[in-house]
Amino acid sequence: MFEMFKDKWILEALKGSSLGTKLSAIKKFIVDKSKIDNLTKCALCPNMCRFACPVSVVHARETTSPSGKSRIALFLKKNYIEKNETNIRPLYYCLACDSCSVSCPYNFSVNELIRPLRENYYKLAIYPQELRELITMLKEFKCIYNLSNKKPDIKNEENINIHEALLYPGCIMMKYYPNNTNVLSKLLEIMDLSVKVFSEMIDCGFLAYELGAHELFLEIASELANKINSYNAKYLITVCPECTFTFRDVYHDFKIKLRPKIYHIAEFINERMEGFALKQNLKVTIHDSSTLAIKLKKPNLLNDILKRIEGLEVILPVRYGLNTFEIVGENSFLYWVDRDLAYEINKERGEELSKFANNIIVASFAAKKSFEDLGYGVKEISEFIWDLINGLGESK
Amino acid sequence: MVKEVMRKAPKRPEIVEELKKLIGSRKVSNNLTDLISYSHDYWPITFTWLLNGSLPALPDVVVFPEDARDVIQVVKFAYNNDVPLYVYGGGSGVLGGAVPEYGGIVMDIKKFREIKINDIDMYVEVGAGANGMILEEFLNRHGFTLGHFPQSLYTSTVGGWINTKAIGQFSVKYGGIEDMLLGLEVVIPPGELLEIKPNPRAAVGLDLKQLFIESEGLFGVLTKAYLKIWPYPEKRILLSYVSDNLEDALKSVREIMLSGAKPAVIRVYDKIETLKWFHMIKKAKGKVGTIIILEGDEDLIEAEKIIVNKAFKNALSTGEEPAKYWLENRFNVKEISDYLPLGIIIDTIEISVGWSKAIELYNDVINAIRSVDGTLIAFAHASHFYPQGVCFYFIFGGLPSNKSSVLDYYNDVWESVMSTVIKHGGAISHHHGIGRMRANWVEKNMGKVAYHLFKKLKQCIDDKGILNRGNMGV
Repeated sequence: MFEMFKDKWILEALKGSSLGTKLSAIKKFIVDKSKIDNLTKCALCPNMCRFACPVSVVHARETTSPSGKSRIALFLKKNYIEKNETNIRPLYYCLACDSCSVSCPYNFSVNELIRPLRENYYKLAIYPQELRELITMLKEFKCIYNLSNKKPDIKNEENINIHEALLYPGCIMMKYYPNNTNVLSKLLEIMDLSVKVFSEMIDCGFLAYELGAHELFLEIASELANKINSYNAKYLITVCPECTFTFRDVYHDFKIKLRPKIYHIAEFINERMEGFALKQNLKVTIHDSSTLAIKLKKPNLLNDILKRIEGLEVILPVRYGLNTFEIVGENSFLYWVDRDLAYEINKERGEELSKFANNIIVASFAAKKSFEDLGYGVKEISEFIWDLINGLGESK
Repeated sequence: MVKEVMRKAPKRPEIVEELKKLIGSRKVSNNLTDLISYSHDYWPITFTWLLNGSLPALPDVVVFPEDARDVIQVVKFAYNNDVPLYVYGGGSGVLGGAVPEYGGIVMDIKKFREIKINDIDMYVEVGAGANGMILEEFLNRHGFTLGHFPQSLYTSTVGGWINTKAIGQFSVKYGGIEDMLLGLEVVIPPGELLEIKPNPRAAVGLDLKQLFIESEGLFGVLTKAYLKIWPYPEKRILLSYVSDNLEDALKSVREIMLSGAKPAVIRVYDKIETLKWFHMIKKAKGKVGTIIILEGDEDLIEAEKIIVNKAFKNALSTGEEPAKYWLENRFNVKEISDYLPLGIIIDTIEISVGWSKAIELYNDVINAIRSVDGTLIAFAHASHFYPQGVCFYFIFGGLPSNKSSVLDYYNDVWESVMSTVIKHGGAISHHHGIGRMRANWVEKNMGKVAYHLFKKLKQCIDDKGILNRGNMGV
């Protein structure tokens, strides 16, 4: 009947209290218990997930700790403090990685709890000034960059009428690694798919969604969904975990229909790599994407792929799988809000990984870019597999 | 507009710019959000205020030092300008020990988080701001354990452990933080770095480490610690038993403690709490459950298992399940989140007492809590043991009647428990410390002469009383 009373032992524990007290308590449980919102519960926690939060660990400040953010959010929500750019700023110190949810007894994602506030403040045009450029780009180009002069490095085969797969490169890949579209297409073709590459530069809308710019997100996502659906592909292959999550979960929540079955490239490789006898005498470590591990519930995807490669020694870092330590890519709003902190977080992760192996395997081009910027040897999983197939891999 | 409940000194806004000049503006903040975040720790009563937009006390400024030089500069500044200085770690203290009631500076030491293992001398050199879980995971990945698992492990810091004389759930084998501490670095007024290097044991004058254990920030700003480490345990054995009553269970545990066996975990639950942790064991109803976990060298723990079984020969052995359940749920802290918004105040009180008075004290404390009008629940477990006695961990929850406020109810329970413990000659705190909540009972519990000496030491080390001003009543 009452949540508390599901635990029978509490009934026994209450036996010692006076009848009046017991009745008052029961009244509270009936009337008030369901009214306690999740943000309040999080704000009242002693921060039991702070060790898992990259922002909290590296920034090392209470205000940007998980429960610290919820407390500020609660004070804003209850109008105890003014809604201004300084006071709302902690709400943007989040990677949306959901690492907090893994050790939370309620499985709360702090990002989920505070995103509605970001949405309200976006409507009021209150947000950190550093985001202005990003928002302008999203409005003007429906992408976090102006990529109007970028094209995928591949010519789509026009004589094939029905393409099984549509490859969606995403914003980071198109800005920094457009040549990899060619590699990816060939890899998918070897895995028995006819492939077309999505060639228009509209991003998935992930950042607009996370910023709370929901009208803007709907505008971007609706246009993109129409275009994707027009290809009549069976599969939509993405290379970015955030794109996969957005297409699979967020579009669904916003009732935006995508007809193709959505795959992250690593999921696809994992399903179709059986026929390839891959060998490589090399020591590598991995950086698991929190979006794949936690949001998409694929905590062992990279390791599952790599452990099937003969001779490859995969050294797991301290933090991997569900306990991975997310880094800051350009597709995270923290990158735009606090570039110094983003650098510190990435450096911390890079230093951890480099103690285990010189070669880091990742499952996103955003992670590849971040590690490359710091000078680490890094390969995205599809290019790593492609190199192995073609005998181009490095050896120990 | 936020309200301050406990602030006892006028605002000093002028210190902000001076500190920015001293250590750099990036490391100094007087943003309202930061002042709010550092106005409290995890003292339950203050969270009832927080829900209404009230806070214990806002500091004037928060600083984020990145190395010992920054700390020295800030301590010198505070000393020279008579500005109170409060040190902040994970903020998981439950007694208001980190509340900046006289304003001034709060110093967050969480940037001090470097970890270096010395696997020959078997210690870890670790920054005082390092998080407990990050430290333990790092050690585990390299084949070691600290053996220190307070319930706050996920959120607390090394510096906080030392400053409150913390203890972990595996204390019977690994001891409390005082047993692990080999050396430290601490900045003391007026701004000097005191270094105590790690040695297996030293008889070189007074052991100054002791000054900083359970000093709650009164004597210095801890920046680094050297802690003992152990090989990651080879094997673990999970055991549980159901005894007829608390007396029988404690008698069995005493026998184990006197045998020389060192189980990592021993937890004895009273009849109420047994219902929670032994819910899967039907025969446990109305009885007293005990969980025991042995870990370490396989041969050694097999021998310990024989000793444990012998000590519990008159109890019912109930297998691994209760211990497994406890291991899976031991860090689920949600009581305050679940019940505080309903107006139900929940808190814990841990005390220690010799075997001879253990049962009497347990009964008297439970009765004392129950005697306060508004009490809903009162139960306890014993979770740290010594050849000489036991630590009881009491949990109470109450819904004050219309006539009394939450604060009145809360204070009445604390008063009744503290006076009961003092009457029986127990220690009013076993591992949470004193903070502001227990300050009124320290002198009575320590004794007049000891308390006077404590105050003299404080005066000697921190003559201007800048460090954690107001804490412990010193």
